[in-house]
Amino acid sequence: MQVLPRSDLTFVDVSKTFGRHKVLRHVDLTIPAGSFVALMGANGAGKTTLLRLAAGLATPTRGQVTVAGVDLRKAGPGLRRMIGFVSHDGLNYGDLTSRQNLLFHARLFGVADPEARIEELADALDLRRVLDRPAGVLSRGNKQRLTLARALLHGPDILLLDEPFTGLDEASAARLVTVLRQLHAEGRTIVMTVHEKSRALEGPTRLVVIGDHGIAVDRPLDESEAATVVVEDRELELVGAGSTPSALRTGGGASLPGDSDDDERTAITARPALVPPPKRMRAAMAITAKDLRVEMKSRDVLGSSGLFALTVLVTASFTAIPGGNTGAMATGILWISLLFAVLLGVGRSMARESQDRAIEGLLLSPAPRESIFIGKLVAGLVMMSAIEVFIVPLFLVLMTGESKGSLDAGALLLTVVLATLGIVVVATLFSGIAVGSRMGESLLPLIVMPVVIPLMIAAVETTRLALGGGDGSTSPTQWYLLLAGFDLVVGLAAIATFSFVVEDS
Amino acid sequence: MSIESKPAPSDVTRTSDDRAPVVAQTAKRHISPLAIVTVGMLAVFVYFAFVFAPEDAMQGAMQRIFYIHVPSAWVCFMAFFVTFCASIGYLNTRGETWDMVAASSAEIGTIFTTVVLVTGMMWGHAIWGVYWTWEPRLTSFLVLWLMYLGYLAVRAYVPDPARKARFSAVLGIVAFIDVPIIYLSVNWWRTLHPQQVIVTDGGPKMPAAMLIALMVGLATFSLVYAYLLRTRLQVARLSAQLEELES
Repeated sequence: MQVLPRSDLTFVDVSKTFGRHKVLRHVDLTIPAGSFVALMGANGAGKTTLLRLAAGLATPTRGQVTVAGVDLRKAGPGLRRMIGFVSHDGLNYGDLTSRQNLLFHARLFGVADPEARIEELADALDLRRVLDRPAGVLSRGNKQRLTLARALLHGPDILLLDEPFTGLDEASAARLVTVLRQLHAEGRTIVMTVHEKSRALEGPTRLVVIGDHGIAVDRPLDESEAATVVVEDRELELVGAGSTPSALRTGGGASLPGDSDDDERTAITARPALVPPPKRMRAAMAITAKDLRVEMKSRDVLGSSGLFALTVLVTASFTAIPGGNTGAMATGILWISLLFAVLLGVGRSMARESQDRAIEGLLLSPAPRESIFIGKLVAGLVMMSAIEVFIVPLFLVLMTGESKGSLDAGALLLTVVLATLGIVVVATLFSGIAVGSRMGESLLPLIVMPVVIPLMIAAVETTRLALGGGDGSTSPTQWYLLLAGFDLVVGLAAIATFSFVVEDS
Repeated sequence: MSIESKPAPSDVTRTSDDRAPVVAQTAKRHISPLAIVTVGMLAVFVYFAFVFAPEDAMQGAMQRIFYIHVPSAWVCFMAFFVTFCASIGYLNTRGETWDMVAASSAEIGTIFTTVVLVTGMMWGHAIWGVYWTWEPRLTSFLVLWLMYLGYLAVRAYVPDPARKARFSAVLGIVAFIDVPIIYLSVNWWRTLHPQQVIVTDGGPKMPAAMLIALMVGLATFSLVYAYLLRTRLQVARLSAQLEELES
C-alpha cells in the first residue's frame, strides 16, 4: 500500500442554504484519509450538495470544509489536484471527442504523459471503442465511464462520486465496485452517494445517512451486512454473464489480486506521473485552444456571428444610408454589427460551457480562475478577428464608396483592436451572468450594451477619423485614450470578478 | 410614517399557523426620528430653493430646477457608490445584508437618475429649446440609467438568491467604473452642458445665496436617500423573513 499524505476531509458546522431553502444544517463530519464512505439519504437530503462542497464547487453558507486541514475556499492548485469528482453531469464538452476531452483535462492537471495515461484508462474502463467519438453522442453508460476516466486522470487522493452507478449496466457496475475497492485498498479516500442499498454496501466501510437535520446515521458497515449483499449481486451477475465483456467479468465487488484483470485495474488505480500544473497563461492558452477546437468542430459561432454582421451591413446599406458615406451613421452601423456579432458569439461560447456543466470541469482543475477568463477572452478575440477580417473590408467596399477622405489603415486597425478588446472583455464577463439567468443569452445585450456605449462612441469617432471624416476639430488621441483606458480598467475589474460569476452557488 | 420591520428573533421560528400574528406584530407603526428630520429638512429645502435663493437674471424661475437636478445627481452618485461598496462587501463576506444594501441603494439610485434625466430635459428645454440633446453628461446619465436598469433586470431574472447576489454584485462593481467617466466627461468632451460651477480652480462661481440653497438641497436629498434606504432595507428584511416562513 502506498503511503499518502494525510488528506482528511472535514466538515465543521457546515450549513448550506439555497435561497430560503436549507439543504444542510450544522453538518459535522470527519472523513479520515483512506476511508470508503457510502453517503445515503432521501431525495433532496443534500447528498449531492455535500459532495459539491467537498469538491470546492460550492461554498458553505456557514461553517468550513477542509481538505488536509486547508479551507477549500482557499484551495490552491495543489489541493484541487488531490480531488477527483464524478458528478451527475459529465462535465465534458459534447463537441469534442472523448480523447480530446481527456487530453484537455490531463493538461490542466499537469499529467506528465497525457496520451499514455488516456490509453491506459481507455483500456481499463473499456472506453477504447468510443475514444474518438464526440462525447455528446455517447450512451449514458459510456458517458459515465468517460466521466470516471476524467476524474481518475490525475490519480486523486480523494474521489467524490455522485451516484456513480447511474446508467451503468450490471457488469459495468460490478466492475466499478471492484475498481473502487482497489482504489480504497491503495489508501484513497472515497465518498460515494448512492440510492441502491445493495451497491452502497459493497466496498464502503462506513455508512453516513443524511436526514432532515444533518447527519442522521454515521456508523461502520459490518462484514456480515456487506457479505449478504455481495452474494446477491454475484447471483445477479451470473445471470447476465453471457453478454459480459471479458474485461468486466470479475464483478461482484470482490477484490481479486492475481486475476487476469490485474493490469487493467492497476492502470486505473495507478498514480500517474505529474508535472506542475500549467501556470496562468499556459492554462489560459489551453482553454483558448479548447474553445477554438470546439468552434472548429461546430462552427456555430463563426457561422452565426459572421452571417449576422454581414446581414446587418447589407440591410443597412439599403435602409439607413442610401448612397453610402463615411459619416457617423455608416461607422455606427459597422460597430453595431460587430457588437452584436460579439454578443452572439461570446454568448454561445459561454452557453456551451454550461451544457453538461463543462465549466465545472474547469473549476475542478488546478487552473487559476483568471486563466479561465483570459482563455475565453483570447478565444473570443480570435473568433472576432476572423469575422472582422472579412466584415471590415466589406464595410469599406459597401459603405465608403463615396468617401472623399483617405483611409488611415493603421488608425483603423488600432480602433478595431482596442474596441473589439473592450467589447469582448465585457461580453465574456457578462455572458456568465446571462447564461445563469432565466432569460439566458437574450439578457446579454441588455447588460452589455449600456456598459460599452462610451466605447462604441469612441470606436465610431476614431473609425470616422481613420476614414478621413470629421472636420479636424476632434483629436483622435483622447478617443484612443478612452478606448485604452476602458480596456484597462474594465479588463482588470473583469479579471478580478470573473471567478464570482462562474462559481456555483 | 414608517413600518417597524424587525420582529423578535422568536417570530422567525414560528410555525405557519402563527403567520398572521407575526405579520400583525411587525406591522406596528410609529414615526421614526429620521422621518421627522427628513420631512423637516424638506420644508426648509422648499423655502431655500423657492424663496431664499434669488431668481437667476438670465434663466428666470426655471433655474430653480437646478436645486433639484444637482442634488438628485449627487444622490445618484452616492447611491451607486454605496451599491459599489456593498457589492465588494458582499463578494468578500457573502453577508446577505450587503446584498440587500447594494440592491436597495441601486433601486433608489435608479429613481434619482430618472429625476436627473427628467429635470435635465425640462431645464434643457427652457435653456436650449430642446428636450433632449446628445450632450455628453446627459447622455452619460442615460447610459448610467440603462446600466442600472440592467442591474435590476439581472436581479429580476436570476431566481437563485445567492447567484442573484453574486451576479448583481459583479454588475454593481463594473457599472460604477463608468461613474468617473461620467464625472470627467464634462472635461473630456466638448459640451453644451453648463460647465462645473461649484468645484473649480478659482472656487465657487455662483452667488452665496444660491450656493446656500444648493447646500441645503444636497443635505436634504441625502437625508431623503438615507430614509429611503433604511425603509427599503426594512422591506427587504421583512420579505426575507416572509419567504423563510413560507419555505
